[in-house]
Amino acid sequence: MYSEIGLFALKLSLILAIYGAIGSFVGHFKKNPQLVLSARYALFSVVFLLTISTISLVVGFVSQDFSLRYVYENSNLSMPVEYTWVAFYAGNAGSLLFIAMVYSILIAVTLITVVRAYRNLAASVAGILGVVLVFFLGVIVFLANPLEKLDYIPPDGLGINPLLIHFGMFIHPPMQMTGLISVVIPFSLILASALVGKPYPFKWLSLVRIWALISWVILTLGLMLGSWWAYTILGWGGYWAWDPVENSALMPWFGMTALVHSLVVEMRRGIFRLWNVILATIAFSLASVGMFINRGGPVPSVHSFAESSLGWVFLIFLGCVVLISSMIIIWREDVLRSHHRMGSYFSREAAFLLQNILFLVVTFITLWGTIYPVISDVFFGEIVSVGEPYYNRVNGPVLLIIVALMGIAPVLPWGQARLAILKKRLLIPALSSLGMVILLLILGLTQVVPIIAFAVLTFIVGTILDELVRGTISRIKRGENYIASFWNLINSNRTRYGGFIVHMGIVILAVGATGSSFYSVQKDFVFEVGETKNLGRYSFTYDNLERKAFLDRQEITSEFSVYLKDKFIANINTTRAFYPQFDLTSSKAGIVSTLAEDFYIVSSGLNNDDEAVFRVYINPLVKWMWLSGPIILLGTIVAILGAFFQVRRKNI
Amino acid sequence: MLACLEEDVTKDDYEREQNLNKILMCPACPGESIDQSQNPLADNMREIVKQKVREGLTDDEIKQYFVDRYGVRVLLEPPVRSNTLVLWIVPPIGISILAIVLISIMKMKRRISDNIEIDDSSIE
Repeated sequence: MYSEIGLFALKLSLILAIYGAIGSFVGHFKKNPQLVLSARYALFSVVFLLTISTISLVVGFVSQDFSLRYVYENSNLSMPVEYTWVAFYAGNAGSLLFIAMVYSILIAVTLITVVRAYRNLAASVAGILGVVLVFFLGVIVFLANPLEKLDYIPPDGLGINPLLIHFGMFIHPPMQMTGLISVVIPFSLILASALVGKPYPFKWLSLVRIWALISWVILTLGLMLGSWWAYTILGWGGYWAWDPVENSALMPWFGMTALVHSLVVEMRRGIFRLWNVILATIAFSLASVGMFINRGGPVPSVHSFAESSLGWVFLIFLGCVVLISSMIIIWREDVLRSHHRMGSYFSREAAFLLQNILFLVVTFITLWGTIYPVISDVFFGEIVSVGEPYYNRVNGPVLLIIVALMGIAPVLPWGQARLAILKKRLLIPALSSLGMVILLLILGLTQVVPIIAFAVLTFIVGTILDELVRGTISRIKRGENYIASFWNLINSNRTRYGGFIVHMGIVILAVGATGSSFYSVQKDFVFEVGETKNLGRYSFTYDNLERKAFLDRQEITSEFSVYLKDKFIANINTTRAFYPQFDLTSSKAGIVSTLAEDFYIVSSGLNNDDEAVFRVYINPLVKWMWLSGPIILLGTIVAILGAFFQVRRKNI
Repeated sequence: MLACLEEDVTKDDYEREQNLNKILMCPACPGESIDQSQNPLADNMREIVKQKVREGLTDDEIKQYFVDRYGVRVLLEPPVRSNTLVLWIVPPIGISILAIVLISIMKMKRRISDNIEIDDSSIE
C-alpha cells in the first residue's frame, strides 16, 4: 500500500515539475505573473511529494519488503538494521530518487532567495531548474523506478556490495550526490541572468556567489569524505587513485573552484561576465559527465555500485545542456560582453584568469585520461588503462602551479600591480620559503619535487600571515586591542578573509598529500601469533587472532600492540572479512594516527592456521588532510556570511 | 609518486618490486594496481614480480612479460608508442590551442574596449 502512495507521489511530482518548468517560461515570456506564481508553487509542492516517495522507499527497506524489486536487489536479511535506513541510495534508481529529492529542496530554497529581490529573474531561474528536475524525474519514473513491484515475493534479497556497509555510507554518498546536483543552482542563476539579458547589480552576483560557494564546499567535503572512507576501508593505504569515478567527481570540483574565483573578478572589475556563463556551463556539464560515468559509463571502475544502462540518457542530457547553453550564450553575446577591459596582465584579475585556465587545463587532462581507454578501444582496437601514474605525471605539475598561484594572486592588487610594493610584500614569504628549503635539506630530504612543493606551501602561508599581521598591526596602531583588532579585521572583509582561511586549509591538505605521496613506507610481513616485528621506529606484536562467523561473512580479527621506540602507544586491530555470496574480501585497517604520521596495518591474507600476512604502512602527515576539512568548511562559512551580508545590505 | 617512477639502477630489489606493483594493473579488478588489490590474481602477480626481480630481469622485461600475457591494458600508464601517442600529445596541444584562443580573444577585446574605468569605490 505504502509503495503505491510513494509511486503516485512520484508520478504526480513529474507532472507538477513539467507544469512548473513550462509555466515558468511561458509566464515569463507572456508576462503573466499568476502563471509564474502557480508554476513556482508547483515546484514547491514537488518537495513534499518527493519526500513522501523517499519515505515510502525507506519504509520498504526498513521493513525488508522484498516485493519491491529495488529493495530485493539492494538489501538482504543479514543487513545491519541501521544500514537499511540508508541502503536506498546504494543503487542506481534509489540514488536518482535521493538526488531528485535533495534537488527539489535546493530548488525551493533557491527560489525563495531569488524571488525576494529579483522577481523578474525568478521565473527564468525556476524554468531552468524545473527543466533539469523534469529530466531527473522522467528518468526515475520511466527508466529507473525504485518503487517497481515484483510479481512474487522472494524470501531474501540480493544484498549490497559489502564495502558499502561502513559508517562512511551515511555521509559520503549523500554529500557527494548533493554536491554534484547543487552545481545546477549557480548554473541556473547565471544562465537565467544571461537569458534575461539585463545587467545585474553587485547584490545579484553576491547571491550567485553564495550558491556557488555552497555547492563548492559540499563537493569539497564529499570528495574528502570519500578519500577518508577509501583510506580506512579499502585497506590499500591510500586515499586517492585517479579512478574514473573519482575523476568524474573531481572535474566538477575543478570547474566550481574556477567559477568561485572568476565570479569575484566579475564583482570587482565588471569583466568576465561572458566567461562566467561559459564556466558555469562547463561546471554543470562536468557534473553531468560525472553522473554519466557513474551510471553505466563505458569506463571500468572500482566504484561501479550504481551501474546501470542509463549512460546514454545522461549523454543525451549532457548534449542538450551544452547545446542550449551555447545557443543562449551566442544569442546574448552582445549583452554579456563586458565593456571594461582587463587593466594589465600584471594584476589580480590576470592571475585569476590564469588560475581559471589552469583549472580548465587540469580538467581537460583528467577528462582525456578518463575517456582515453574508450577512444583507444574504438579507434585503435587496443584496450589500454590510464591510471594513477599517468595523472601524477601530467596533472601533478599543473596542480603545483595552481597552488603556487595561490601564494601570489591574493597579494597582487586589482588593476595594475606595482613592482616596488609587490617586492616589499613578497620579501618575507620568499625568505621563509627559502628557510624551509634549507631546513628540509638539513633534515636530509633529497627528492626535488616535494622540496619544491613544501617551499611553495610555505610561501603561501607566508603571504597569508603577512597579510593578516599587517592588517592587525594597523588596527592595533589605531588603538584597538589585539584580539578585537584581529576579529574586526576578519569582519571587515569576510569574503576575502574567508578565502584566506580556505587557502590555509588547502595548504594543510597539500602538506598532507605531499608528505604521504612521497614519503610513505610500506612493507609486507609474515607473522605468527606472539611474534614481534619492526618497521622504522615502530615495533608491533601480533597478540591475538579471533575468528567470527556471521550470516553473510566470516571475519578474522587480528590484534596488535604497537610500540614507538619501545614505548607502548596503542592496541589496534585489523579485520579481514570474506563474503561468500559476493566472493569478495574486504579489510579494515588498524590505524594509529598522529600529526606526524599514521601507523597503518592491514591484513592481506592467511597462509595457514597461525601464520598470516600483514602489510604495514607508515604514512606521514595523512592526518593533516583530514584536519583541513573543518578549516575549509569554516573559511567557506565565513565567506558565505560575508556574501550574505552583501546581499542583505541596501543601496549597492 | 612522480619521482618513484623514474628508473634508477641503484634502487634495491624491494623498492623496484613495489614500484612495479604500483604500475601494473590487476586484470580482474579494473583500475586497481596489483599493489592495492586484494584479489588472488593480484597476489599471484605480486609473487611473479618478486621472482622476476630476484632473477635479475629489468623493469621493462618484467612489464613486457605481463603485457604478453594480459595485453597492454595491464600497464596503468600506457607506454609512449605510435597508437598511444595521442594520449600523451593531446593535452599539450589542447593547452596550446586554449592559450592561443584566449590570448587572441583578450587582444580583440583590448582593441574593441572603450577604455571606461569602472568605479570601484562603492564596492570596497
